[in-house]
Amino acid sequence: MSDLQAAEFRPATPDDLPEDPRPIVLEARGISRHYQLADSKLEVLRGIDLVVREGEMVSVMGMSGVGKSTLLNIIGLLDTASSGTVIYHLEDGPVEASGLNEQRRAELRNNHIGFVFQFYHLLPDVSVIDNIILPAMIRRSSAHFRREKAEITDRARGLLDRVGLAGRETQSPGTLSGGERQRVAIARALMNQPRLLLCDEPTGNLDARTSDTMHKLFLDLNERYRTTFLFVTHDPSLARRAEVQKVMIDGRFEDITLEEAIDWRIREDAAE
Amino acid sequence: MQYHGFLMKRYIFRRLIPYAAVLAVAFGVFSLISVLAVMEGFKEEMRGRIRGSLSHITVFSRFSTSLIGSGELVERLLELEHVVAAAPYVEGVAMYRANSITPCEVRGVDILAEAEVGDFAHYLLRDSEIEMLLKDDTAALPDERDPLTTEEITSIFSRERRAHKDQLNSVFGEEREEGFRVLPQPIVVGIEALRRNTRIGDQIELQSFSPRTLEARVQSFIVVGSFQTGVFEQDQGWMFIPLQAAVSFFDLFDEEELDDRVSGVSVRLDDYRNVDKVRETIREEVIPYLAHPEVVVRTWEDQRRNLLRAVDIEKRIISVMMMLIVLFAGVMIFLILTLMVIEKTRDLGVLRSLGATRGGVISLFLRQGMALTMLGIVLGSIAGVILVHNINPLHDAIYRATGLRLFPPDVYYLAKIPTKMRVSDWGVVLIPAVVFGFLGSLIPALWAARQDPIKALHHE
Repeated sequence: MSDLQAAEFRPATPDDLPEDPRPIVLEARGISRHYQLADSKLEVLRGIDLVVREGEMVSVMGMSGVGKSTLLNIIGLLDTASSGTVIYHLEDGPVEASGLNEQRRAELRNNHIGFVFQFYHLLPDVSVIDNIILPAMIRRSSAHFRREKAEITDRARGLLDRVGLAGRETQSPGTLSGGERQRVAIARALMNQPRLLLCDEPTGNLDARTSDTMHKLFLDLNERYRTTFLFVTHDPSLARRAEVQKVMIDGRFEDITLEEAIDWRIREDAAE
Repeated sequence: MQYHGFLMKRYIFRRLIPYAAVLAVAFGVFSLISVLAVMEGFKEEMRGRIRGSLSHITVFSRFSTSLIGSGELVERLLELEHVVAAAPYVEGVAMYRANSITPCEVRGVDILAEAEVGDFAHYLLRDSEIEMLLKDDTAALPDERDPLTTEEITSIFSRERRAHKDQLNSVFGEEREEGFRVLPQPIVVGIEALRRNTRIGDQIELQSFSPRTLEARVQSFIVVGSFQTGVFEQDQGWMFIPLQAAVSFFDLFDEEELDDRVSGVSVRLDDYRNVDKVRETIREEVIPYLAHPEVVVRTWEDQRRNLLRAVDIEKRIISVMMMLIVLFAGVMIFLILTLMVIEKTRDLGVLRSLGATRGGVISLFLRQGMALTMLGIVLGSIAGVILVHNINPLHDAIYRATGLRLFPPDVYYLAKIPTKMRVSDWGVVLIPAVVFGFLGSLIPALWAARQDPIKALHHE
């Protein structure tokens, strides 16, 4: 899709996709991203289309270097696409990300997007509960925050309980295991009640057993609280649990099933 | 935003190293405040010294010792608003012979009027004070010392005193034909001259030329007293004699005009701040109407411009040097914040992904830098004020403990270290501290905001 077409793009409505009644949270249309190198153009993403609906769990699986993280960064408004559009459907209507200034993008990230990273990225100088509260601090003035402090702290406690770490509020992130840190990171991502949780290899740094309990936590959050997830991962066991499974090869979504991709990958590995 | 204060507490106030920057700022501010206060006190003191015997305004003849009609001029000056006293004076250069031949500046003054126009009464010394100063070279007069009263001044120059001194030291007494002894005229010499080659009661011989007739003049005087202005050259080389004695010594009576020629008239104002106004009035409303208008009006600052500027420049140079400490403190803030940006790059990526803006990141680091700066300024100011208020007890304690006098009283004749805090000096301290602190924080803050959040998240 060219830039011109992208500009003329009309946000999708439920009428266009009548088979699913759930409202759309995110639309990505024709996302491309290339980097200009000294004498060539490195194309990382080549026209990605993606729709995420409320309460959906979407996984994007692919090998390292196929552009998964780049896609996630573009959707998460940390990076901008070379062409294509990202549209967030908020309560008060659709917002196209490419037209936003820094301030609005930061606001969207804060209010509507939650990030979960492979390496947790908790702030080491800050206690568990304050790490969770941090997103609530970012867009509130001190006075505003003080007024709502009790409420916010209650919510953070509730989230900590939801991820199974009740009672660990005052601990420093350094004293937690990897799995526990990731739970805190998930609680932090949920703090501002985002429309969408973006997870970049959320279990990539955890052992198989911890990964498994983490997968169960994701499913639990999805089922009980209708949390919308978008995973990018190279872990087939996580990707397999998602409702919508995308396979990404060389900057594109390939029209193959996850199982075919896994077989293909196993063959590739064997060939090597 | 709430996270600014929250993270600031954790990033800087719970660590040790940032306090090094606080200390550097505090030290710079402390040094600047105390040095400027002492320099200002000293400057104030020096202004008094530099002014020396000069009155607020002097009206003097364009040509040496030829102001005619001083009586009329004094009357007109006294009629002006803000003028409280005016007195004629004569000045001339002479050689005096005591044990050796020494050049000196002879100042002929109307002693009582002079006490009113200038500080004559303040720097004339009582006999007991002369004795004390001669006994101990390092002795200094107390700060709160009463000026001499009119009676005391009159008695110093009195005939009785000279007669008495003359009996003590009558070697050079002059005899007249009738057997009627004429007492030599009185002279007051500086304390340094007394320390070197003269004593109270000595008869000394002055030699000079009359500026009117250009003939050589010689006359004997008797040393009746002494003074201390605090300026070595004046205390060594100045001599005061009564105005009439000066007129006769320099042979200044003008037979054509039937009037004494004098060097000028000294004027004292009610308040020195009116000086410019009064100078203009004298220029425009007094001088043109004089019979002999060849006179010039100068304030004492006009006359001592170079010396005053020297003291000012000295203070300015020291302030600039001291500002280097504050600059250094700014560099320290810069280094500490830069290290923090490097250390916290990942946190910055996280904050950006959680919705912090570039502006927010700039503000986070600016606030940290300014918090360090402000804390340093407050601590430094408190320490500076405490030192300035206790500098003399402290100096005494150091002297008692080590025997070291950092500020020997005999150099400037000051018993205490003078200090003065001026509002403008606070500006000289605080503005550079804030500016350097701000610049030291701004550069790391901008750098932190420029970090790409994606790269920052992968920063190890």
